[in-house]
Amino acid sequence: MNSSENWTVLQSKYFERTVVNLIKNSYRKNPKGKKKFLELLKSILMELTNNPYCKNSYPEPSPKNMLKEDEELRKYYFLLPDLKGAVAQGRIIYKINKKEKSVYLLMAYTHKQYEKRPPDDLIRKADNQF
Amino acid sequence: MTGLFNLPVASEYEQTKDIQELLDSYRKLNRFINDNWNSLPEEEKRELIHFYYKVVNQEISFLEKARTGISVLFFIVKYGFQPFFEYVSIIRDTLNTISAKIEQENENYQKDLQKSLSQDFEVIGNIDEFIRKLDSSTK
Repeated sequence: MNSSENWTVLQSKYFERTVVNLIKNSYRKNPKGKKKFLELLKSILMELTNNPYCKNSYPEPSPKNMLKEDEELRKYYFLLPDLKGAVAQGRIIYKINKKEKSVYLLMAYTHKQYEKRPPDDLIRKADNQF
Repeated sequence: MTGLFNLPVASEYEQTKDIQELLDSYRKLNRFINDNWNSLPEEEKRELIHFYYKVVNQEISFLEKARTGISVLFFIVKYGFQPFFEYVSIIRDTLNTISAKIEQENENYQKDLQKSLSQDFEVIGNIDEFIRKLDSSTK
């Protein structure tokens, strides 16, 4: 399968490391889950090759002065197989260069890595309002 | 917030508002959260964050599950499947908006994102080979 048919997909050592860490942290003792994840990742990469503006992706703000004129950031949302909660909320951030018709894979992670939970007393207070 | 979590059946919307108006109001709410997150009062942000984790971690009581199940049934009977799927899609978008804001406020996220942008890149080429490489490096 060649990724050059529509959009060219590029990756960095950093992206690869974030995927490896994600797999090791999520599927250390679950080889079947890992297999499902790799199949899912393959389908995501194929989808980005065909259309990086696909329905599971949304615009993401970029740090200042880090993108060129023809570039933009997007975030792809997916669910990690066999997992629940914040650890199942997978993300892939990528940069699109429209002029080059290229997709740069930046990093993969789960929401758990950057989560922020309100203190317990506020959780109880909010619960009373639901 | 209450309206986001509980499907709007058997409420004031039932007889007085068209379903598309209702869906539009949820779309507007999602856009409002996205565009105005930084100026929202801290308490409202905390409530939205709590709402997100409540749904994602499925911290939902039996009573809430039962109430939601009944609401879904009435919603589908009254409006059909298509508006229900649209409703679910809007809720999903709103949850993604809240989670994106949470992540963007995290300093480590910003640092990692900057780092990821400053790398050297190479063409993946063959996706199957890339997947096999990931498989073997995580054994």
